[in-house]
Order: sequence, then structure tokens, then C-alpha cells
Amino acid sequence: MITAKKTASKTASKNLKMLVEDQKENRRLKELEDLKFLKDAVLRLKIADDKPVLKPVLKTTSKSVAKAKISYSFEYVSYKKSKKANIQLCEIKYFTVSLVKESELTGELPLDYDENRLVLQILDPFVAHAYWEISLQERCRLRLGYGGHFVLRLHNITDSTKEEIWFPEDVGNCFVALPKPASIYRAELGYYSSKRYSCVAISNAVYAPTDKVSENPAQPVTEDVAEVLDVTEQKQQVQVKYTFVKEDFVDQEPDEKDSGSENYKPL
Amino acid sequence: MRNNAGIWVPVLHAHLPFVRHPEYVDMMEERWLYEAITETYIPLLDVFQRLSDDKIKFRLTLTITPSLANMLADSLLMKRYLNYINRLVDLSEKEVLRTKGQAKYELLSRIYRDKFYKIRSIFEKWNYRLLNAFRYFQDSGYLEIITCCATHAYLPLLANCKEAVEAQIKMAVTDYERHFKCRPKGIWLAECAYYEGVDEVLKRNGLSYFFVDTHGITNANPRPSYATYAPIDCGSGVFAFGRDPETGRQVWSSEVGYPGDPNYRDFYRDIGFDLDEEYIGPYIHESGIRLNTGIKYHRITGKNIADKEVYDYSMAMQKAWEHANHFVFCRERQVAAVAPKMRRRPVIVSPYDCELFGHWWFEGPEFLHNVLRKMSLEGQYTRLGTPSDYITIYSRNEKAVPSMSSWGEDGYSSVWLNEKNAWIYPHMHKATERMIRLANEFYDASGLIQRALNQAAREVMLLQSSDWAFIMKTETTVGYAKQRVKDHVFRFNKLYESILTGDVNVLWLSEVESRDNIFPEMDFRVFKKQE
Repeated sequence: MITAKKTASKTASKNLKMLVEDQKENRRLKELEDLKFLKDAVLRLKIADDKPVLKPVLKTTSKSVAKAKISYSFEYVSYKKSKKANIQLCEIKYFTVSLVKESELTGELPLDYDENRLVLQILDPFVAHAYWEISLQERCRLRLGYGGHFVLRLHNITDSTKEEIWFPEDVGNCFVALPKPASIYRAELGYYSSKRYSCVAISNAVYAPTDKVSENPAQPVTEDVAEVLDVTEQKQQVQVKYTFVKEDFVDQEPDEKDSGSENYKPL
Repeated sequence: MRNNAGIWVPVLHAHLPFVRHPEYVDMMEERWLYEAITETYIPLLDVFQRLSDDKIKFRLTLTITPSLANMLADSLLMKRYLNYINRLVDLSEKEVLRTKGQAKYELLSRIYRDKFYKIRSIFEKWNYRLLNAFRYFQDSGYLEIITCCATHAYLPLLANCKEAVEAQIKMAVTDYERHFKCRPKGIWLAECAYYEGVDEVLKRNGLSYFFVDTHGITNANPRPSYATYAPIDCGSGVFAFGRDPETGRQVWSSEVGYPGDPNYRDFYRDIGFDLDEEYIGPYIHESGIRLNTGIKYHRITGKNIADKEVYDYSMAMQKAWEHANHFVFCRERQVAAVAPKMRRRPVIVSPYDCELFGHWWFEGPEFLHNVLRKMSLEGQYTRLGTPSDYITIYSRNEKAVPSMSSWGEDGYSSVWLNEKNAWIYPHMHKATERMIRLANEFYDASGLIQRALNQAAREVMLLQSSDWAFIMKTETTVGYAKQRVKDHVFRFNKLYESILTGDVNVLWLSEVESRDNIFPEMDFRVFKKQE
């Protein structure tokens, strides 16, 4: 029993050693491969200087979690000559050569996300923007191309009205004129086939801002009255001015007869 | 100065998209950052230093977007920037030799040389960490640095993914704390874009104010009494400050704005395009593509580039002083006209793109310096302040809900959603939905899967950046913007698939992590579904 255990333990230990050796070897091979890649990458960088002096790998970086070499930071001395001025420019340049190929770091945008989706965004009080996507499955279900057509319904939730905008099948977004500012809108993407209407997607609700000054004046802050008392010490005039400020401040020209103007004579 | 003076709140919005390409030796788009550092960020630091040296207590609100902050904190980009500024110093030395004997040009080349040496010395003085410099001025009481959506996402077009909006804000606050060691008080919503309900997200993340364009306030419901001269309480306790249209016109307008004055330096005529390739070759792109070097000798005159007159630096500085005087005078007059009608001190909020000052408008930093100095020392009816200063005085404001708006062309979303860029949104929304799904299904993930999830969150946030849609609309570097969208969609989808199958390629993941390394503190759980 004991012998069997020892044998098993020895085998495990041997396997572990081999594994470690293998890993070391793999790592060494990987590094060699990396260095070859690195060399190529450096050559790819078109260094236009007269005499670039590359200091071979000054530092490498590693991350604690994976302890993998990820990139090589370079510092090299660059010389640039200018015949006319007879001055030589010398500086240290900094850049990183990555072990990851550039093609793995960028790519084209997805064509679609394979879902039914409609989003409404407000542009200004009179215009909104809608974009949408209809999944392939939904397109099949709707049997597109058999005489039906898409429609965008715009619901004004504030006054419970709606209107419809027709659009061709291959369009994915449009700017929508809003009938009325200061209203909440929601859009609905639907499909009219010969027999019936099918709702495909419903958008988020949006609020179109107002385009004008509100008719309701704000409630003035009570301290404002107290402050004028400090300044003018004339209670009666405070009340008069209070009313005036409340209603028509924005468009009024300065009134030089106003008692407060003693402190603020126009220059 | 009067106790009841109006408060002028200048706001500079510093932003650049996250552009970092360690895989290239010389990436053209990275120069956006280098140019902005040289022409705007360091000159502004210089302005702040000069004012503080003179004990002038100015107050300025500055947005540093998380994507810009991450680039300014990145060692690779800062090393490359050092190369960039060294090269400019070198070129300016050459220019002094080349222009010898040509009186006007020689003087200008010397000015550029001194300027570049100074910029390099400021960069070195702050130990190549510009965020520390901005933080110093915040801690000293001069700046109020606020945050912005994590990757400058245009929130109204993400409104159908609430979790994504929450994630943008939460990540912005977390990242701000990492850089500035405190919590931000307010936020600049990317492109000043507001839609109803965003304020609730801000409140949950401890932010007390944000900005909207003028019509966001004037069209608010109910109608605020003071138009943009006072903030409104959105009902959630978060305040919305409205942009003042007059100060916007004075600086922004291409027709009546200050930067269009013919005495100011022209942006487009640059020696990078004017001089022989043999001479300028080492200082343009390594492929030989001509670029702006930052050395420009002409002023805004003549419609054709060739007709422009030589720039007169002292005349331009004189003009910057005159314009600053005029600007301060107008603010005093504006406050004097408005204040008598109000029961409180009026606030004038003037937001500008930070890069306007210095990059587009060469004399901008000098103008700003003059304005801040003059208003601090001589302002009778107006004093400098920040939104927090105002809130400290007036903690209660009228309640109203701002109208959906942005500060883009036409005031709404047409710049970020039109026939040129509408194709982005199906992919962006889908990736966002998938990210939310991953955050919920793998909430307790650890190890390699957690790393992959965090990277997926970075990819989706970079995809949400409004800059790609903006570039496509303005037709500048469209190819680059399209490629970035494709890259982030591709990388996200690959991560999504590998997380679902549990088969994550470490080598590939590490490479993507090293490239898109924004938000090292990323926790994918920011995308968790809202309860």
C-alpha cells in the first residue's frame, strides 16, 4: 500500500517536473517568437531619421495577474539634421511595440445586432431622430416583399394624437418633424401587410422642450425682499418693486428714477 | 467697492478628447494637447502666478475635464510634450538666426524664443505635473476647479440609458478626487447640454451647481424673475447658472468680438507652411505633412493668407489692454443697469472655451490678465466670484426647471446628431446597454474578468465622447474620429464576448489596457442598473 502511494507520488512529482519543464520551454519558445515578431514590428515602423540608434529593449512591462509580457517600450535617440541651419536636433523618442497585431485591435462595425429595436431621440423642440433595426427572424415573419410596407407611428402622449410616416424597407433611421413642442412623444414601428398591421417595436418616450418663455412666473424667494430692506430701507417701494420683478423683469429697460438706482448710477 | 456689487463669474472650460497613442512615434492628433499646453494652459498658469505675485485676489472658475486631466497626468504624454517644447525652443533659436537683419521679424522671433523658454521653465518648475499647478492655485483660493462628464459625453443623447449618465457623472467625481484631493463643487455639463432630470443625478453625486445656455434659463418653467442674472433651483436643490449673452458676444463673436481685431495675431499663417521643407522639415510631422509650429509672424489683415501684414506685438498688447478696459467698463455698466431692478446682487456668468485664450486668440491670456487685474483692483459695481461664492451668499433661489438646451449652434443637439454622425448612436447605445448588462450580471467578478470588465467600461466611455460626433460635423479630422469610434466599438464588443464566454485573452487585454488607459481607478460597477 505504502509502496503504491510512493510510486504514485513519484509519478506525480515527475509529471509535475515535466510539466514545469514543458512550460519553461514553451515560454522560451514563445519569447523567441515574440522577439522575432518584435523585430519585424520595429522594422515596420518607418523611422525616417538619418541615424536612428535603437537601444534594444530597455524595459519590458508585465501585469501581475497573468505575468505575461505584453509589450516592449522603446526609447531611442533620434538625430535630425537641417543643412540650412546647421543645427542638429537630438531627442529621445518614446513608443511601444506591441505583441498584439494591429489587425486584432480594430475592425469594422457590426452590420446589425439581430434584434427588433426602435430608439427616439430629441434634436430640438420641433425635430426628433429615430433609428431602428428589424431582426432577420422578424423580417421573415413579416414576409417582406409581398406587398407590405413599414410605417413609423408618432404618438403625442401629452395630447393623445398620432401620425404616421411611411418609409422604404432599407432605411434604418430618419429625422421626424414634431407637430408640437413641450410634449411627450413615443414612436412605434409597424408593418402593414395586405391584411393587417403588425407592431414591430416601440420606442422610449422622449420630451420635446418648449420653444418659448413660460407664462407662469416663478415664486420669488422671500429673502429677496429682506435684502432690499437692507439696501433701501423703504418698505413701501420694496413691495412695488417686488411686483414689478415678478412680472416683467426680462424685457425692462433700467429705470433711473427707481430709488434703488442711487446705488447703481449708470456709468 | 460696494457691498452690494454684482458678481462676475468667468468660467473657462478646458477640454480635449482623450488622445494617446503609444504605438506611434509621432501621432499628429496628440499635438492638440501639446499645442494647448504651450499656448493656453501654461500661459494661463503664468497669468495666475503674476496676479498672485502681485497679491491680487482674483476668482476664476475652471473646468478641467476628466479626459484632459488624465492626459495631463500621463507620464508618456508628458515626456513627449517635453520633446515638443524642446523642439520649439530649438526652432525659435534657429528663427532668431534666420531673421537677423529683418527688423520686425527678428523682434518677433526673439519674443517667441523667450516665450518658449519661459513655458519650458514653468513646465519644469511644476515638475512636469501641470495638474499640481492648477491644484495649487485652487488651494490658494484663486481658482474653483470643477469637473465635467467623464469623457465629455453629450448627455441628452444618452438619456435613454440612465445608468450611463449616472456613470459619466460618478466617474467624473471619482477622477476629480484622485487629481485634486477634494470633491468638486460643481460641474460643467459637456456642451452645456441639459435635459430634465440630470440635476437629480448631480445631486446624488454631491454636485451643487451646473451651467446652461441662456435659453435654458429664460425658457425654464416657471419663468424665472431675473433671467440669467440669478441661478435657479432645479427643484432638487441643485442650481443652474445661465450664460450671459452679452459677455458671450463680446468675446465669441467672429464679427464684433475682440479676437477678430486686425491688430491681433493671425492664427492661420504659420512658418510650418511658409518655409522651405529642408529648413522646417525636422519640426513638422515626420511623414512630411506640414503643421502649425506655433510661430506666426502676421496679424489679422487681408482676406488672402499671402496679403497679411507683419504682426506688431506691442500694438497687440496695447489693444488687449484697451479691450480689457472696455470689457470691464461694460460689466460695470451692465450691473449698474440691472441691479436696481433686483432684490439681490446680480450674477453675470461668462463661460468660454479655455483654448480660445492663447491657442485661437494669441493675446487672450493677456486680455484675461488685464480683466482680472482691473476688476479686482478697480471694480466699483462688479466683483469677481465663483458660483460657490454666490451660493454662499444666496443659498435659496427661485425654483424652476431649466429647458433642455445646449450651447451648440442653434442651441440644441443638431451639432451632435445630424446626417453626418447619426450612425454612431445605434452602436453607442447598444454598447452602453451591454455594459449595463455586464455590470449587473458580473457584479461580484474578480481577477481577470474584473480587469476585462473595467476595460470594457473604459471603452464604452471613450465611445460616448461627444468629440467624435463634433469632429464629423465640423469636418476637421473626420477619418481619425471615425476610426476611434470603430476601435472602441470593436474593442468593447470583443471584451463583451470574451467576458460572457469566460475566455479572456490576457495578452490582448493587457495591450488594450495599455493603450486606452484612461481612468486607472475605473470600477465597472458604476454602470450598475439603478434601483
